Amino acid sequence: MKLYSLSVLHKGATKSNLLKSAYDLSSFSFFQRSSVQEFMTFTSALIVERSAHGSRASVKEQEYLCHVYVRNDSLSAVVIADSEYPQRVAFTLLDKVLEEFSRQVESIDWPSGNPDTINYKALDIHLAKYQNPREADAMTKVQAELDETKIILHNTMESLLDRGEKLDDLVQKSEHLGNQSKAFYKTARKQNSCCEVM
Amino acid sequence: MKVCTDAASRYPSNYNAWSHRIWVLQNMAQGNLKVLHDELSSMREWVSMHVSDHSGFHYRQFLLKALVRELSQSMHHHHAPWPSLGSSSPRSPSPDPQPGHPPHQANGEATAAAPCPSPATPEDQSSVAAVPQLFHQEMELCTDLIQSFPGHETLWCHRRHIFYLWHHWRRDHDHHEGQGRGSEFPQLNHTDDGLSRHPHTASPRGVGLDRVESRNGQAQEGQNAMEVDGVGVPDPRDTKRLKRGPPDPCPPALPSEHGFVASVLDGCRSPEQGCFALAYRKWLDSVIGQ
Repeated sequence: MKLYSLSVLHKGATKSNLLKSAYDLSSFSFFQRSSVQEFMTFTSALIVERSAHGSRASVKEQEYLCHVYVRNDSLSAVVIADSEYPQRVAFTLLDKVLEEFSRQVESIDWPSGNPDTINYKALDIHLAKYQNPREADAMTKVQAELDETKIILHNTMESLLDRGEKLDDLVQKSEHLGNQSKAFYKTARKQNSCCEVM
Repeated sequence: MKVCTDAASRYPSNYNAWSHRIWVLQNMAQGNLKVLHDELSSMREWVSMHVSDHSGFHYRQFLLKALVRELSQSMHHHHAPWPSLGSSSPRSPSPDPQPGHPPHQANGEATAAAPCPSPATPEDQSSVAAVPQLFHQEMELCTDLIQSFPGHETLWCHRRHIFYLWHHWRRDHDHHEGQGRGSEFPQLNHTDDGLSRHPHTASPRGVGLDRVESRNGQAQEGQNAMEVDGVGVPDPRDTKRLKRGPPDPCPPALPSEHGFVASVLDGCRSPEQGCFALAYRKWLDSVIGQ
């Protein structure tokens, strides 16, 4: 069971703003890593944009599961994991990160900040620690606060999109993706081997 | 072996990597109990982090079967009329052989193998104790993972395999030891009976398992109760006896398995977990409980 990325974003009126992110791409081959990272950022931002305030959701895409929590104050976090990683622990992690982040970073910086300007250093540590869910989290069987029935489950990324919207278009327009990644996506789509990357 | 681990980590359910690992063991460490034990313990961490990797668990099933085979052989060799055939004792794992083992045991084994008058050796006792302990530990691991990571069918499949192996080993073993005297496993009889009183307790979590010692305790307690392996009605005296002591770590048994399923369904929040639990119960009833 693995965690691949952990990101903190601010959900703006029209788009989401990446504040900080951490990645563990060790399981990807060297040359894939930069593309993978870009796609994970792209996905995280998109999910936050399409999720409502005060909601928690898990979005399934191929063998990945993206867990998102968008707080009522627009502060959001996304963790991208594999399908073995227990959902409950993922959401515990998101709660924890957002709580800590909001204490350390002034809310005035959220709408316009970016990874270079934001001073929050713990994300990499949290990502590393939570790789082993049982060590990181007491795995308390009774979780008082989290009501799992309220977590929305999306079976594909597509279900997040508006009617008529296409993922291909969003990829093309995205500022998170470099040209190489976009080209790669296009080729993979054509070959119908939907990107093993995302 | 390292190559196998790397390959297994890269591709989920990598049949080839695990088959190769099995091949390596079979061709380079045949019958080596230490290697089998080491593999079993070193793979614990791996399977705990890859709970839906069926090949990893299948490997554990292979290890268990191999261990059980080796341990059973060393046990049975000691019952042969020609003891010299069976000197597999150097390969027996030694939880320290109990020196003053109660005479009850030695007598039981000696009379079971009529032609051979020699008393059972300490290695016998450790072999005899080791197999149930292996199964118990594996079931414990499975229980732990099922509870920590709800909704993975692989874990339930693994449970079926282990329970099935255990069930059949016990049946074969008791049969082999002479028409159901059951004298070697007095504890099994007692704990089965005790557990059937509590259909809803989950399998107790073993803390500091020391099976040989607790078996000694039970053996002395149950000396007069040389019952046939426990399908019968629980003896109320036995259940009263059990009430006093702390809960013993017990080998897997049908009632405790039902208890486990009940406890899973009770606290269940994952629909898949519920389905798997029900399917497991159905399997228990239809395949095992005859």
